[in-house]
Amino acid sequence: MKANKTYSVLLLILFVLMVLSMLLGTVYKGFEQSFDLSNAMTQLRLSRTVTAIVVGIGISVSGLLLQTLFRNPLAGPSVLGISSGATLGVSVGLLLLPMLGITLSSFSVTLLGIIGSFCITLMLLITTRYINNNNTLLIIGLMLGYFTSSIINVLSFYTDKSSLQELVFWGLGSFTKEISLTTIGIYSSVIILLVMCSIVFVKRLDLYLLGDNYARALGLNVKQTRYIIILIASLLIGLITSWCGPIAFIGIAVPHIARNILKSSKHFNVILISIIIGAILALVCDIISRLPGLDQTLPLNAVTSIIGAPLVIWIIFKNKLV
Amino acid sequence: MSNKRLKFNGVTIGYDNQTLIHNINLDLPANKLIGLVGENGSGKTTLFNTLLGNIPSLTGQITFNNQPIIEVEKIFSVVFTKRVSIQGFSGLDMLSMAKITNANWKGGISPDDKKEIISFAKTLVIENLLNKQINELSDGQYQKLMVAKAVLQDTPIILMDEPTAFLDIKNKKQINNLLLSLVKDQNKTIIVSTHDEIFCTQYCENLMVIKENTLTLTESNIGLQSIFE
Repeated sequence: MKANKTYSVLLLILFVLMVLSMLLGTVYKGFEQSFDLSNAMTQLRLSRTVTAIVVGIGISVSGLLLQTLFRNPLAGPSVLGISSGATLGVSVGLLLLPMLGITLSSFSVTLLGIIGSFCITLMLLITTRYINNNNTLLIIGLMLGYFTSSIINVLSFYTDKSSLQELVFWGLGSFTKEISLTTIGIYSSVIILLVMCSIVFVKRLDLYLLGDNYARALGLNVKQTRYIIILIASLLIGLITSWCGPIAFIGIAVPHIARNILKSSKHFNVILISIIIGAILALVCDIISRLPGLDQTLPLNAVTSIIGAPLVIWIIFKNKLV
Repeated sequence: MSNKRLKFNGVTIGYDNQTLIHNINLDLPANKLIGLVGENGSGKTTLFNTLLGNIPSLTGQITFNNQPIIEVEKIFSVVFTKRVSIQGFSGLDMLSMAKITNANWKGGISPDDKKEIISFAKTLVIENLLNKQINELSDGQYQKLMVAKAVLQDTPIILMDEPTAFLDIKNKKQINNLLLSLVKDQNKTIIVSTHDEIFCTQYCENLMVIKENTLTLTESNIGLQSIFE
């Protein structure tokens, strides 16, 4: 089977990258020490590797869900204002509350980010009650994004230097925000659970692609399906954004790569391939950001954008989407 | 499925602020090709949407085989005017959607259903479309595929909203002949919303006419001119 071969090759690449991710860093400690779990540096690299894989998976699946939701190949996690909602939540934690004399743990800041994205999602869900058109929803999402961004700008204007710096660093994205393996475990389980939920709905997603009219005529509850997609995608984006910052381009690029490899849009295989490629791309970006020879790690979003943006443009031209 | 009939009992359709068709009482003959005619905005598409349960009827009840319509997808299949564009979707993928209610949770259809799809595509001489991407099909090829999908859904009634509006004369003829043969050979009831005079008089047996907010059933041989002038 051709499909099985694709899976094997991709899984092999993923495995090699996982090993590389454990070996490579600003220092090279040799093979054995790199896998010795009592070593602090190994633990750090393990947490980083796990984070990259899980976040890559989550953000790719959320990107796919949004592209299906809008039936638009250019949709991604930053549309709909969901990422901005998470950013607003994090800004409240990093900028506003410290001004009032309250300092929060990073876990609480993450929680605020999830609350932020969830609030935006609730607003979107309320508007979908009155709106049947996906493009209108997309525009409302963009407007919500502008709205939250301006609140963040006002907050940044009145804040002190060090808090602002913290927010800027968070905005650059990183897979090393959390190093506690327990916390990572909790976040990861939630993300994996959400990804599994979306796999359960693949048949509905296929039907949804036909457009509201045909899908309804084939018995699909279109509104309910829309609720489910928005809910899963926004939870994924909220959690990931507040955990690792707004990760650019992986979410929009990966589903395209998956569809191109498969030459199909049937969701069951597209989701599975997106999961593997999402993990691969996130690992590649992370490994590049801390290549040996560099004293410091590069900002993650710089790397994902340098790889992701040309990739998206290439896909647009290749598929004649222009 | 042959003689089960679609009945309208005092059905009024439209929206809260605008009634389009008053008090329809109709017992629709089965196994016929029926043209649905009426001026733009008279309620043809709204009638389809009401049948499909997308909007509720304002009064009255629609029944099929004397039962209220609950599982729409088992009674009606549909062909719309507008094309849908999906990246990475082959003709076979599209036809498979007709069998999606029987598919497993992954959205895969059974080998028997696949066999049926392929053999039906051969009957319609569209098997060459199965491996093509739907976005690459011509309007004529696409609409034939959608008609095939509607038939494969295996429902007693097929609704078509101006299926040949964008087609040239040759493709129009092919689709119209296909519809006739479906009524004869497969005992389908096909309701086609149309503005095409030739289709109404030469192909349809009956016409559903929407005029001045009422829906009536007539023979097709009276011609559109006498109805609307």
